Amino acid sequence: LSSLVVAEHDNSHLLSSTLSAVTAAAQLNGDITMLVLGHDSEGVAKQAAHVAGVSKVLHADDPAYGTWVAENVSRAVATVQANGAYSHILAVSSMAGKNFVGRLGAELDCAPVTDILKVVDEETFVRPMYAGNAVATVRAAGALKILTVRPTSFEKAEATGGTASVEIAVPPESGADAGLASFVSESVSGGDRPDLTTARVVVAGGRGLKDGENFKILEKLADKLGGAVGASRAAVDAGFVANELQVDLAVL
Amino acid sequence: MRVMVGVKRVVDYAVKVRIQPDKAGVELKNVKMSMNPFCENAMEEAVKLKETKAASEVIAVSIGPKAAKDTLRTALAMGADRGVHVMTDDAVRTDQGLEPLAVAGLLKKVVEEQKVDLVLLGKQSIDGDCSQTGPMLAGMLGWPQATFAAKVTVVEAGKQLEVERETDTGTQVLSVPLPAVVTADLRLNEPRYATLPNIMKAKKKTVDVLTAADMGVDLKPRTTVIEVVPPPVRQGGVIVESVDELIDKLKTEAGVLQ
Repeated sequence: LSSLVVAEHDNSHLLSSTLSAVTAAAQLNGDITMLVLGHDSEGVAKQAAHVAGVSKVLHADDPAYGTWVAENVSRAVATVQANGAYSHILAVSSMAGKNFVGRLGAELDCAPVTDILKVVDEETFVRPMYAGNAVATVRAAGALKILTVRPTSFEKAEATGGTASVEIAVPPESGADAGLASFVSESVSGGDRPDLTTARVVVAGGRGLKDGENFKILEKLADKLGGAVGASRAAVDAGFVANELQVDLAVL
Repeated sequence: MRVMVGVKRVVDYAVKVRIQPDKAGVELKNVKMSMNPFCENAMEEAVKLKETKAASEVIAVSIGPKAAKDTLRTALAMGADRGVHVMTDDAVRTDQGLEPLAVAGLLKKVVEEQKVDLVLLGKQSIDGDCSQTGPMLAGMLGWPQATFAAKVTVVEAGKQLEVERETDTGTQVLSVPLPAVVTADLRLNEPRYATLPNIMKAKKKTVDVLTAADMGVDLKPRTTVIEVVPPPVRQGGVIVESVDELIDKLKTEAGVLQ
């Protein structure tokens, strides 16, 4: 058994959600390789090498990977898989993870199991359906398993203590940029608050807050607690706050 | 520009789902079924593209048992020009027995057959919650993709889109050459209701019926569902009397305040 964990990061920091994916990989009892795809991301590769339990880091640095365009990420992972023949590929169950994992499944002819809450054994996993109102235990056939891991369902692996080697990942034959969709711009909201998917404390509000203005009360409390602000689907649907604040199971 | 929209028939979002006593899955008998909400967003966007003349034709496609034709009728009443029903065996559960790999494979066949320039899908269906079909279809076709779309701008019909999409930290804008696959998020638009005259008109529109088993796509599931159970029961909330009590609970019970 051998696992490839696709690291999630912002080109300077490894996100703690990746540490949860490492824990899920560790429960599969195989060798763990971490893949860092980014731009100006040497720092992330170094952090990845220090994560406890990781034995090797594969690093690919290219402008095409800096903004996580799915076509480029998916192709890079497929190339690494073709050279490494891992038994499991794990990614974080985030919007970034979901963006490329389906595509990777098509490229590798593998049915991913997304949003796993628990590893039962190397081929059996627990995942939610119906917005978390049903919990399914599923067994995946085939030599390769592609998984996305819900970060809040797994403890975080220790960020230090590891001594993995860092190697350059094998690049796709036709280059890093697949030449399909391309990045134009991005806007980041939320400022310094911790990421909702990994925050230790979440202060969430619903329709009862009546309008978006009143969420500022929650923001103050969240900042005092060092937490993130969340919102129910009803509050998001009513337009009080942006979509990325939704904490109902459907989007996590 | 020819636009194809995938619409899935699922348990209505307002229904509180029940698990079958044999734990084989969620109870689907005698339950209200509707169009997947995110597919409604995709459908609405396609109709808007038609209204602004960017799209020349909108084709709605549904993969499912006989009853999926109701969902197609809804799509036609919303403004699709014609429908394609990829008929599956009534015994196959579309929430867990028909996997994204099979769905994307079938959609790919329809896309190739119909010479489509843009595929609009929902970001996920609210039954299986896999969120895989859109990127998978794009990958199979070798097309660009834009998932979780919040805004679609046609730069040049049939050639180029600009798509604003939701990310974990905010939004991102992608330049997307066509043909491409775009998946709709809730914020993309406000889906219209089908009016009675449009429902009547929809009855006259054509729906081609294809048989999934005859389309040369491997429909066999790669994953086996062992059991489906209800989630752990959540403890109810309490209303606190005072700020002091709240702080005390946060400190001693929730452990979020040190």
